[in-house]
Amino acid sequence: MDQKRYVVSVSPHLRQGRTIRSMVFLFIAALLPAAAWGVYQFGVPALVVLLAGVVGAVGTEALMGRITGQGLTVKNGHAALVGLVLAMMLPPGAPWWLALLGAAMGILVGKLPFGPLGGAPLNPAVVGVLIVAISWPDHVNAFRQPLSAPEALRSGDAAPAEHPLDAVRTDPSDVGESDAKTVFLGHQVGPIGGISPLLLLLGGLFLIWRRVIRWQAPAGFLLGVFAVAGIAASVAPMTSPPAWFHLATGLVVFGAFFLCTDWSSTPVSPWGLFLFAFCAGALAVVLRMTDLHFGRVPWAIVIMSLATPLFDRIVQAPFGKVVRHA
Amino acid sequence: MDISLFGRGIEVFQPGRPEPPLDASPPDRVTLVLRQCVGLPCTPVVEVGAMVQGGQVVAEGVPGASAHLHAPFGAEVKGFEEVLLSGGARARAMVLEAAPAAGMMRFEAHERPLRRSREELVGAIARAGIVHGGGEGKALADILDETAVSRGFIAATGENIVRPLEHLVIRFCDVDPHLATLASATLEIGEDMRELELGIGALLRITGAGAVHFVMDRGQEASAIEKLASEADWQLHRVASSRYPLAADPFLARLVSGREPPVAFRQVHESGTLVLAVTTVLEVARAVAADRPVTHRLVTVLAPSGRRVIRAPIGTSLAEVVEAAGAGGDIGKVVLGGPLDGVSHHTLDRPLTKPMIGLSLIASAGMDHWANEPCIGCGLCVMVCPTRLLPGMLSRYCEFGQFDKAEAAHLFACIECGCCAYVCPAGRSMVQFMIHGKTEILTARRAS
Repeated sequence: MDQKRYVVSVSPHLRQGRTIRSMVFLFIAALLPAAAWGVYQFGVPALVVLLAGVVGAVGTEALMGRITGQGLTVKNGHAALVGLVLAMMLPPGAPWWLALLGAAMGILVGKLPFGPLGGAPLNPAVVGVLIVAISWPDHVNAFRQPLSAPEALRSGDAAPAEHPLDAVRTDPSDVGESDAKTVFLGHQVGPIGGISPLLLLLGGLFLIWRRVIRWQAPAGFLLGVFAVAGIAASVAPMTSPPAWFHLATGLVVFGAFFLCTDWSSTPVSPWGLFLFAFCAGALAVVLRMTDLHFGRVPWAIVIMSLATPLFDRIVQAPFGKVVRHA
Repeated sequence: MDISLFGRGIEVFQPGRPEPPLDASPPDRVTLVLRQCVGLPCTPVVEVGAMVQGGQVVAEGVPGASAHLHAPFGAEVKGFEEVLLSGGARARAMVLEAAPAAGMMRFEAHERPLRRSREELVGAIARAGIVHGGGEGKALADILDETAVSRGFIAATGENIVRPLEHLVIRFCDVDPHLATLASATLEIGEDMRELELGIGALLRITGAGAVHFVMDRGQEASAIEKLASEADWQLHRVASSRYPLAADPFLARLVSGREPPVAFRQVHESGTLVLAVTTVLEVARAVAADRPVTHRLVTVLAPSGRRVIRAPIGTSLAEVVEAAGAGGDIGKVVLGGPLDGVSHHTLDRPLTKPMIGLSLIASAGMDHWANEPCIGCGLCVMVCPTRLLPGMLSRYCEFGQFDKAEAAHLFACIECGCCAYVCPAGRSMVQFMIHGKTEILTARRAS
């Protein structure tokens, strides 16, 4: 009997049509406003750093893919994402080769040894930035005053720009001079991609809305920062900046939405992810109270990532499973 | 505590509003598969060459293990052939060729159907060959027996304990929002509530259920059913059925009883909630009112060109059902059921069987490929999984043969709804991994 034979496969027979590539590109798109703000505030050198990061990461992965016969894995855009995230964590005064080298190290040490995308136990961008931070501590503290800062601060005679948290530590009255609104709107000294909490927040919310990242990570991280910073501020108000200051400066918002949400290095279980991010946030504030001058949020996240397999054991009882209370 | 902000399941686009069903023109021949649902095949009770009336029993089911089979119209028994079912099982089937001269059986209406005893009512349901849909289907009479007859392992305590049904749930909307079988049947009921009322009355008398729940989609218009519910003090629940699979049995059971029924290996009715499609309730009404058997089926034909609900005799070739729906074009895949949880079949040369509720035709151009890239750990599957599992993790365990780990991570709580595969950006065939793991574990258990 002549009859047409059809394709047989497992269900479901429809898919949302989402790919790794589309997820990565949404991620990059969410980062771009904050990156553009950094370029606006710090000028062409910041743009060069960002580009160097992307080129370093993409170039390294393409080269390694060729050498190892893995093919052109950069097509899914993840290498570019690693480079961009890494460069956005660097200060505007960092030389371009620092970003290039950091991105290359991030890919070489943090990503490729662990096989295809999804295997890396630590966020490759964070690995890269910590390697250069340890190797060239002076270059990662090369902060600059933003374009919107008063002219007196930007002139050549002014003292070199200081990270707001370090400024606060040397002179606790500094908090009073920077009010929450201007800091939140992106008029502050800080890393290229980290100075605009507003744009980062909008980008992050966009990613949550498009279901690229999960809300448990940023919520847990910001809550962890707020809790520990709030306790510190109430216990020692003279030496600790207020909680909002911790939330709005440095890499906190950036880390909450774009580092804690890295796919492979964070837990997949919802509660595990929340607690992971909470601990990372708390740890970040604790590290901010130490002598560590750069990379407090990255360090906190990378340390917590080591415990990701443990957090993944925190699972909810599945549907219909009778939980026995002994 | 479940911390899922957006709610579980996936939001699915519903293709248009439901329309009343369309009657397919009666086919010249039907092929009645002797194994219509889980359980044992039916035993033919008519000889080859015999003339049978429409509605006459042609094969008897085994009590407790299958349902009776009837001729849909006056016909001649032509013989038997073998049919390849999806899943690779072969089943014997009886071929009937239409012979209008044989005529239809006459069905005597009972004066007061609800006055009949419980045994008589269950007997009527058994003789009508009603199959409770969902998956492979199961004879409804057997399910009703299970819910009201004490069972050995419970009675072993010395007490004769019966686990009665508490909630009777009537579903008016489809689990897979792409289908419109039940929505269409609801439209067809219109204002006439007599059959629905009778069916529910009979089921209440049989099961002794304490509460009746109607489940409808938020957008479904059915003022007469709303009125019936409020008059009889039955509860009406509106659910967002476009959020698949939250209209499936286990989730409706949770909705009405507040308890989560165990899903592994079990049927939801064992936890005290029986979820029935509205079409099944209507079949019960016809069975108890006049011993009318089940001979036709409503199926949604979902094609790239559109969606139609067709009423066709059981045993009609699927090719004829597709023709009746006017569906065509370059079809690459045939799916028995909805496109989200249906089973693909290699040919349209297969007869319609009782548990079928839909037939989805996927265009060649619309067929997706499983990229099956390694899991990137994004957690999208965790967000959508309606049973709160970590599907990505489970798929990795099953992929690499770590079946003990998969079992410890509650692999058997997976209901194979396919939400995880629907969203997976790495294009992993999640359901394949789950089924593979379950099969390996069960095979190992059987061998030991």
